[in-house]
Amino acid sequence: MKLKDQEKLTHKNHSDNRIFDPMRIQEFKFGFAVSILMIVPFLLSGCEEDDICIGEGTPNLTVVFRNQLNTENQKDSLTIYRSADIGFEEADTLFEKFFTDSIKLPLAGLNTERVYFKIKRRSNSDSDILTVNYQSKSEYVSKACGFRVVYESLNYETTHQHISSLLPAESNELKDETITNLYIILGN
Amino acid sequence: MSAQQDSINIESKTVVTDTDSLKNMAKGHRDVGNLFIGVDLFSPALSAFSDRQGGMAFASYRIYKKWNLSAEIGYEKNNFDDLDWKVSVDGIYFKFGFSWFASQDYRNGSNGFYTGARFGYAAYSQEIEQYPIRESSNQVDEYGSLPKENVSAYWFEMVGGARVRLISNLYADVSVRPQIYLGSKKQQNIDPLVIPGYGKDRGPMNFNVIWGLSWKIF
Repeated sequence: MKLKDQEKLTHKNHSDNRIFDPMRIQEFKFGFAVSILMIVPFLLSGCEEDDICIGEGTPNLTVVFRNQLNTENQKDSLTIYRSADIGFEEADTLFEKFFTDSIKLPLAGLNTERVYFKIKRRSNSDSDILTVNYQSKSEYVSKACGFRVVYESLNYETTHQHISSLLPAESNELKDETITNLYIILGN
Repeated sequence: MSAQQDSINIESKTVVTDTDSLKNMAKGHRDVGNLFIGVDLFSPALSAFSDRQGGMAFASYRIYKKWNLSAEIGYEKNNFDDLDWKVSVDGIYFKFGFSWFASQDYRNGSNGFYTGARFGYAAYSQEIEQYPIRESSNQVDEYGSLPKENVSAYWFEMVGGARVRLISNLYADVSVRPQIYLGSKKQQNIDPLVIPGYGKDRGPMNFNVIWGLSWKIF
């Protein structure tokens, strides 16, 4: 058994005799190191491409509807139009008969300071008009997303057909749409 | 029995080669060049095919055994024109660091493989001719622009390379350099998209190549 091991070892030494040259060992080690150096960046570059903009965009105005006594959220079937003019001659339909208690409203972007929303509840014939005033500015986000728009000095006005009152959140800035900016207390 | 004899023979042979090569290496080290200056041929070559325009010169000085100090200086003009951005930069960059020869030629110690590291710094002017503004979810609605401003950036480079004599005191010095961006003085908080000496932002790491031609001074 012992002799057999010895034989194996000897045989190995025979064939790889030249690797005992210290220069070659070093070269081999270094060649190995260089190939690692050369391969690593390619492996890393394979999983890069942070070139798609996900999230972190321009925030929407988050609005939550509350019941008459402001005790709980109230769901309703809502139809909402957005327009830059109060006559709603050029209006976008944002929601149509959408049953919910909270909505996200896109404001009008840079170089604007006011936007109107026509809010219609269920089968009510009269709709309310919510006016949002603000100051807009652009802000850097990332390479993939570029700049976004954030809003400051927000304030709100409304008609009172079926909206009893407005309850703005403490902050009058809109930078994060996960925070509710405005509570609308519904009337009858 | 015969196998054992064999292994003893090999062992003795190994010892001989060992001392021989050690002698050679010691002899070789006496011929190692101390000061090299050179230019990079890769950056001018790249200028012909891309927006990256520039050149680089370098010097390397042996301070102790296999250790060499390196200094590099270059100028580069480049731009980033992608993802609705248009950014152009031009300026100078410096790289300081060391190279360590992992293995050297028996006869000429200036030939060999080396590894090392560099710290890179660029001072340049940047003009953001166009940046995208997303007003709604994921489409670009508007563009903005920013005037020229002086900014700077720094990064780290790992170096793996080889130097080999061509004729007389002229050497080819080729290296590959994974680069890691570290930080910068920004314009309006905007991350740099392209940096002279570093290249375009392509994720966490960049990759540079140097085709150097250098002259041994002494």
